[in-house]
Amino acid sequence: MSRAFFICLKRDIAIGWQNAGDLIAQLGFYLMIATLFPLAVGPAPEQLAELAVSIIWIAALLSVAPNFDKHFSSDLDTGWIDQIALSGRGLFGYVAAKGTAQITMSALPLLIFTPVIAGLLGLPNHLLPVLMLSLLIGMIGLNLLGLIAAALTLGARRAGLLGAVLVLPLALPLLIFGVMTSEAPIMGFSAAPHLALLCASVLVILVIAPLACIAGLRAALEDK
Amino acid sequence: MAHKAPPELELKDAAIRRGDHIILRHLSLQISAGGRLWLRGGNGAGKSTLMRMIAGFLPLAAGDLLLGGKPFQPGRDLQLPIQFIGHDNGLSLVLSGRKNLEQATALIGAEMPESDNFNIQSFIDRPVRSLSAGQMQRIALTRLCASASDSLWLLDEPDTALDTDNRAALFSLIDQHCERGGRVILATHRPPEAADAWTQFHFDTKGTAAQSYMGTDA
Repeated sequence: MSRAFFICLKRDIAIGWQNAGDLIAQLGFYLMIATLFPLAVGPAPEQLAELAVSIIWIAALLSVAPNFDKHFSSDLDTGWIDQIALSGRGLFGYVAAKGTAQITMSALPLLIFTPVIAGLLGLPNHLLPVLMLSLLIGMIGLNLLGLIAAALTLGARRAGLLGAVLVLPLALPLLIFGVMTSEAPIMGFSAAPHLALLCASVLVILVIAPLACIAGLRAALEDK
Repeated sequence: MAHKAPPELELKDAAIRRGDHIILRHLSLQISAGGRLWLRGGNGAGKSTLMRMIAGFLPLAAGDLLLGGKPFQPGRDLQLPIQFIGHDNGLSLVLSGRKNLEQATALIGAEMPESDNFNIQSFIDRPVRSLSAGQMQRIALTRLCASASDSLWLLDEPDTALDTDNRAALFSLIDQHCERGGRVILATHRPPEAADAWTQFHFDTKGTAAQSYMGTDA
């Protein structure tokens, strides 16, 4: 199991490095959505600063969604998942590696990029640390939900769209608790209770994700 | 510890379902250590399906898969390791042949093979996407050189893209493997080299209700 984990992690990082263009496109998408809001709601700085937290959360949520279908489909098509399944209980390690690779190679760059967007939208600096922390936790949950969607829609036509429709409702608790955590300091409340609820939501997803992914992969192997 | 004879792998009165259709039924076959089985049948007869079932990707709708008389779960019981070369070769197109091969061999806990049975050294460091179908297949087949000597090889039309020399290399690798106690199940439309050494397994071409029988050793 752990052998499969490390091999798959190395492989995913090597492949991700070769496909660096995908990451740049994702970051561009994130920036695009965030810059559309000022155009729509108007450039008044106070209004933007007030909305900044919500804008960043929605932009982050949407920029994760279009990548749902790619996680497993190329590995299924090339037969790599066949090889994993034959190696003896390797699927858990494979899924865990996918999650880790996804979080380090997609969520972290997005997070590193966030202060730039926060600056553009005029978010007060003292709110940034809480926003970053809640966004980090929320992105872990979101990416795991993305993996679930990818595994369950493997082999379906328009899997990306279907996955997004399936998963975005499940991401609502992350969005609600995430925004509440990030905005608590504005209202002068403690962020802790909301943060705890956000963490609890992510933990639930963390427990479900491996089971759902492995079930999805097994079903896809049967259909192949 | 007493050395036991390697157990026989046996499929008993099996049926395989795909979606709502039972596409294979009343399948029985045995293969013991050193055995080689040649699956024969037209396109769509169920050769690949049977292989994917033995590899554990498809569940049995009826019947049993037994190893030494006990239920065998391929991919979970590692008592009989399985190497599967199917239509998809498991190679990532963006990585080099060497990276792909390193990962595939590490996955089964083996070292990179030292021998170069399929002459892949000249193109092993190129990205797989720049290779021809035959070259890709040769990289995928080199994985077999790293597999355990007692493993079962499931080879689904492994020779379609190969040239004459590499096809010969494949069959000499199969010979070596079987001499060391390995087992091979092969599906191919071209008769294998030394076809007499193979046990034949015929598929009925009627599709849904495949009646199958064991051929005899010629």
